[in-house]
Amino acid sequence: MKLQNMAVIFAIIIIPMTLILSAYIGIQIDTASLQREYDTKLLDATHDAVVAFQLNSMQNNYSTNADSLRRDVKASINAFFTSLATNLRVPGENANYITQYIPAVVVTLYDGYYIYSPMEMEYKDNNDVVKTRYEHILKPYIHYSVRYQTGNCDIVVNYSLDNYITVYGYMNNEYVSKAGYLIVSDVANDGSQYKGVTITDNTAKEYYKSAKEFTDWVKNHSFSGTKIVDVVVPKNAKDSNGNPYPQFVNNNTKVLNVSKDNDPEEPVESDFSAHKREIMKQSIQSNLNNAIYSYSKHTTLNTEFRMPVLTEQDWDKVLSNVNIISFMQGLPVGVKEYNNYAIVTSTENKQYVDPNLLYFIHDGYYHKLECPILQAAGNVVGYRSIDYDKQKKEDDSYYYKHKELACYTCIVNSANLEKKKIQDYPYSLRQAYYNTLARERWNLNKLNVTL
Amino acid sequence: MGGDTLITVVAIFLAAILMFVFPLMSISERNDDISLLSVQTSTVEFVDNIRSTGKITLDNYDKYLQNLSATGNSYDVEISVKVLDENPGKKGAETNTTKIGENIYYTIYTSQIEEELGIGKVNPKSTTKLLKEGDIVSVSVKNTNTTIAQMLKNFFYSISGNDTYSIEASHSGVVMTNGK
Repeated sequence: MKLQNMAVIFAIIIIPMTLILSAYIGIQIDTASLQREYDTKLLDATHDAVVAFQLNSMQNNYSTNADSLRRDVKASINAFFTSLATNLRVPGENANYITQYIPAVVVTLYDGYYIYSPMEMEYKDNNDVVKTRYEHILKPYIHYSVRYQTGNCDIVVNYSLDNYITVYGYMNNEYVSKAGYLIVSDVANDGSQYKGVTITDNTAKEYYKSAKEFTDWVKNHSFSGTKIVDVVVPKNAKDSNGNPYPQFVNNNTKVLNVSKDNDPEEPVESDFSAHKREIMKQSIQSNLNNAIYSYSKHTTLNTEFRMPVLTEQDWDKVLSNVNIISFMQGLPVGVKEYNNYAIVTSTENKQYVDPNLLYFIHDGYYHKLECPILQAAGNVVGYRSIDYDKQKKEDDSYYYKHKELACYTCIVNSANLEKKKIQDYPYSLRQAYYNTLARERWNLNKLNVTL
Repeated sequence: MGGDTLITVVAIFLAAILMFVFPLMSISERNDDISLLSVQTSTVEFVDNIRSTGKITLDNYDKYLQNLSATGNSYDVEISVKVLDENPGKKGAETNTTKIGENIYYTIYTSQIEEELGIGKVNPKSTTKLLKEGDIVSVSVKNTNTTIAQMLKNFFYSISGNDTYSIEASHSGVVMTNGK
């Protein structure tokens, strides 16, 4: 065969292969790009929801009231859908098109969370016949709670993002209901000393005094021979059907037995925090799973909705402050279906006092505890970060509670800050920290003081 | 005879182009496309991770650079952070309480950020650059070597110059939370 013929045959074989390969790679690239684009849009929309929540709840003096908070949460979810629909270029009336691809939005707050997901709703059609359809609604608030049952003791403990817990139920047929902060017993009876530091702030003294009383009650008060601390053991934890949790069956740790090694104010290193984390994870996972699964059973879309597995880093975020988690599934992307979620943490809210967001005033500026300028500062006073932000008065004018400016070394631009354990700071800073943390936590309004 | 030889030479030349250069060009271009996809994906993930955690860590930055070099090319990475400074707004608001003060941004660039991540230091105090809500982070990356596809293109189409990079990605956004 002539060389020319061979060349032609070669070209006939190779050219279609190259073209098909190019087209295939092109489609894969488009799919991946679209997926990435959706990831960013979902993240942006979730951020918009968080910003809306912050704006609404910060300017709302009643945002710690349950009904008012619910309204703020609904508004932020609306902001999420509007933003997502606009980002995906289906604004206005068509925005409903997007909702069917959102199996759930979770808003995690101080001591529980809301799930916004589709539920079966009844409605009447034109002929007054009752029919059902799936509609997105904001479901009732779910507390981070767990039931402990052993013998005649049957109590429920509600956990929160910090060391505040609520205990209620029956201890040997006696009804108990109490809420308070758990702290290490290294505290004077009148609250004027804590961990070797003199507490000067009157509100902070109240906090330590009441926390000590509550902790003593949990640890030492005997109800016909049984103490709460002996009942709140992971192996006694029961799920909604009364069955023990498989992961806790052999766990005999007394999680409320607070000591220096089990300090509930430590965010991660204590038995209390580890157990609390498991309970919160378990609660969110099972409720969310149910919500997504039930939508999957009834959706008209040809998609199987499944809850994605959240990573440990994601759980760290969820359990560190107020968060919004949004799920988007089933949207067609090239040759695949989209399935992802976005988590955005809120830092400016009235729900929770984050120990990392306490700022201390020195020399006209406010600083983080680890700021080098603050280390030799002597006596300082601190407030939580939102108190330095602009606030709105009822006449719509703005004011600042504290007029100090943000430090350029640690807040505006934080460079080379060395993070230490709280006990390694100078006495004056430890004192400022314990006073501030206690004052701000005591001033925080709780949604459920007694049940 | 002379005409036949000429045709054969031309045919061999054409065949060589068809059989060797054309597939090579096509495959090397696909290779660049895949590198581009990988670079874009890593860049978006890197930036979105910074935005949602509020910090740039040495660990993540290293991983990002490793992902880039896994494509077999060398890159020039530029990170810039627009740091939000609300202090001028706060000062301004004191004079007029019904207006929101104007905030300003100042920018820090790659070398400053790398220094704060402790790159090139023996015992760095911290390997994390903390950002805060409202800062704007942007990352852009371009290849600095000449890829095979670029070489072939340059050869056939005679494109030259410094800005003929073929792999380029950028992503930016507002930081959503205060870093801890």
